[in-house]
Amino acid sequence: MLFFAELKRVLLNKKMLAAIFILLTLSLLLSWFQVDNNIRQKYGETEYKNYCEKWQGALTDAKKHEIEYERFIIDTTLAARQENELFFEQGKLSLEEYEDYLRAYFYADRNVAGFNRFYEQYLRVLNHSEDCDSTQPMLIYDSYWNELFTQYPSVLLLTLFGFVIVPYVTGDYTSDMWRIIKVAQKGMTKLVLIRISAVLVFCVTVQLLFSFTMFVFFEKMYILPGHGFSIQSIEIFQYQALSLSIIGYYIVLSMMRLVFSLVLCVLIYSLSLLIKNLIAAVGAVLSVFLLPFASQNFAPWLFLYSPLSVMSTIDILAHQSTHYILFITLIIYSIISGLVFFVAVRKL
Amino acid sequence: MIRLIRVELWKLLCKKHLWIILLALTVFWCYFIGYTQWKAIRTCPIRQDTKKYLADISGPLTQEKFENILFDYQLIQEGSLYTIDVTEIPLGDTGHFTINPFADWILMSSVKAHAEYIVNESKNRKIIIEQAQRNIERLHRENGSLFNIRENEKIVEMYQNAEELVLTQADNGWKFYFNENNHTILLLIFLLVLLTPVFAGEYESGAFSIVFSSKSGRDKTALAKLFSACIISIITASYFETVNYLCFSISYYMVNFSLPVRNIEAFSTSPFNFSIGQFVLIKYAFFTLYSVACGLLICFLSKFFSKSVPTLISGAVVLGSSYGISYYFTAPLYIVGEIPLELRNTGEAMQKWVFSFLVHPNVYFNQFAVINFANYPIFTYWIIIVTTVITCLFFGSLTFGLYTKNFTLRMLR
Repeated sequence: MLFFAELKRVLLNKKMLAAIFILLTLSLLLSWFQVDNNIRQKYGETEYKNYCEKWQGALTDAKKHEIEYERFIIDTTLAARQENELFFEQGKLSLEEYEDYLRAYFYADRNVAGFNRFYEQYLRVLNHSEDCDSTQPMLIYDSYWNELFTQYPSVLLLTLFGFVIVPYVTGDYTSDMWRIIKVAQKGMTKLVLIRISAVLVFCVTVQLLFSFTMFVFFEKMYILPGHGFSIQSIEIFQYQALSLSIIGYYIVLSMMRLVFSLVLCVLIYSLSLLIKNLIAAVGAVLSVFLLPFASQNFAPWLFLYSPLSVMSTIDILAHQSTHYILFITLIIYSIISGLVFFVAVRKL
Repeated sequence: MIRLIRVELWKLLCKKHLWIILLALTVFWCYFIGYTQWKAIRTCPIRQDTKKYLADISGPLTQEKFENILFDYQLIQEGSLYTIDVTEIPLGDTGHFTINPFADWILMSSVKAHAEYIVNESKNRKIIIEQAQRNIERLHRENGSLFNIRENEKIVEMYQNAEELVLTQADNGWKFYFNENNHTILLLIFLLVLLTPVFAGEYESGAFSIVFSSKSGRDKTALAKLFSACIISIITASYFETVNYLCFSISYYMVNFSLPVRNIEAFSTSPFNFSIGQFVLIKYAFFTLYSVACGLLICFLSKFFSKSVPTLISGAVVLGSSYGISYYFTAPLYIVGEIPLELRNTGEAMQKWVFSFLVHPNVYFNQFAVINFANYPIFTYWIIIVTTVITCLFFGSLTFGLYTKNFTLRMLR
């Protein structure tokens, strides 16, 4: 009963649902802007997409042959420009032949940037062709997959968690309600446990909503081919050791993000409970989240393992090819959160 | 009135948690910006050797000196001269060291690049003046616009008065100090925590109804609160700027206050003849003005909502997003990536109107940027200063009006 009453306070009310909706819309708009910007800046994106779609899937001998032949055609056509110009000036090449060459040259020139990007992917797939089936990369158009995995609104989520949890916890101390609660039948400790459960339910709901909406948004707006291909097919995860499909890995990553969010929510809750003063608690939470960002140019490691980076997890995965560092980070954050919570409860 | 301001200051500052937060922020900044850099520089032999080499040849760059540098560089290229024994440089940001066989070459490359910069800067300045003079002649001949003639005359006048640059210790200290403005985040956190209760605290505790009917009256109390907010903003900005400056200056041993600011490459096309010391003062002044604008904005939000939680949320969103905008348009490419052309134009327009750009004063002084104001060329930094002062007056008077009329958002419910 009390749990649902608390859940109503923290999540199931008009204001909170409106705030979540606004933040969700904002995060989608920011992602849309960022993705479009990133894709626009990549050289030969359309040609890269065409090549990827043409040879998508497992690398067969026939595809290998075709790709190598395309490489040869593009390289030789581009390299022969000066020579053919000279031949044409000297009359060794007829006008028709020269026009044919120019057509081939313009084709090669238009496609070379996109093909070079595709060829890198091809070499990557070729190097791992001896791997077992579950980790063998496939040829795939991965631009939007890369974006889906890297776009994550950790700043917005942490802002939401901070500004929801801190007033929720310190409200009793601001209004002096804690004096009544302390002598009530349930007691302060029991209420703290019920409230932290409500906060965790809030966190799980928001996280799952954001992860699911982001995926649906990318699926509808952009091209996400080959859901069942191995995760190693995507450029940013080429060194992954896990044998998972892309969609499977997205689910695992979402779960990792969820676990980190839960730990960070406990940390925010515990800090607020310990400090008890609304403004001081907001100051402390903002400092914990923003200071690593402020010092990122001078202490990059601090930013890498800061709550902002840890929430999206992708920064750590991009730097380390193994998952153990993530678990160590998780354990450290859990210990810190647990300790602060323990001290806060002792001081009730 | 003074007594009221004193009381307000006392009320705001006498909170234990404030001092703890201030101490924590200072210690954090001193450790991560001051100590880590200091350690990196002291333990990096190549930086020390570059300093030593430059100390020997520092002074005005003569032709003979320039030729000697090129000669030394040539010898290094051929492998027949070794100026330093140590062959180690830091490996990335990890603090580990690795053997580097190109240490000599790196040293001489940086010295040569600095000498070439001085030579090119002088040439570029001459080209700019010649181009402006040609423009003036053409505009006179073709009866061009008065503004364009005055603009070109201004260019000639400013670039002609430029002092000659000197070869000095290229230790990057000033460069980092002028470019790095992330200590603004510390300022914003502290101001938000400090000034949120200025008006909201009174309403939440119910003290407002007593203060409102007291002898001092609404006007004096409102003025005292706004003045104390301004004073606190100025003190806080000066404190954080000083801490930031000390962190850099101790690490890099930044002296040379009298050198022209154009000695730093980021100001290579600057028409201003400031010395580095003068530019430091400008940075202080801009930062302080920005802080006052932020302080008054928080006061307005505090009065408007008359509650701490909405004030904190709206304050964080407004200040955070305005700082984010200026950060996005001034951050290096490796952080924000290539900015699209249409956004770049928006960014340039924003530099004139969004007061958070004040924390990056170098964007106003690194080139000749003017606008047409009644046919007179006005430098863009005057626009942003006037905009910020108007912002301060707007929020100050709005807060004053809301307080004296006892208007809050609560009344709309």
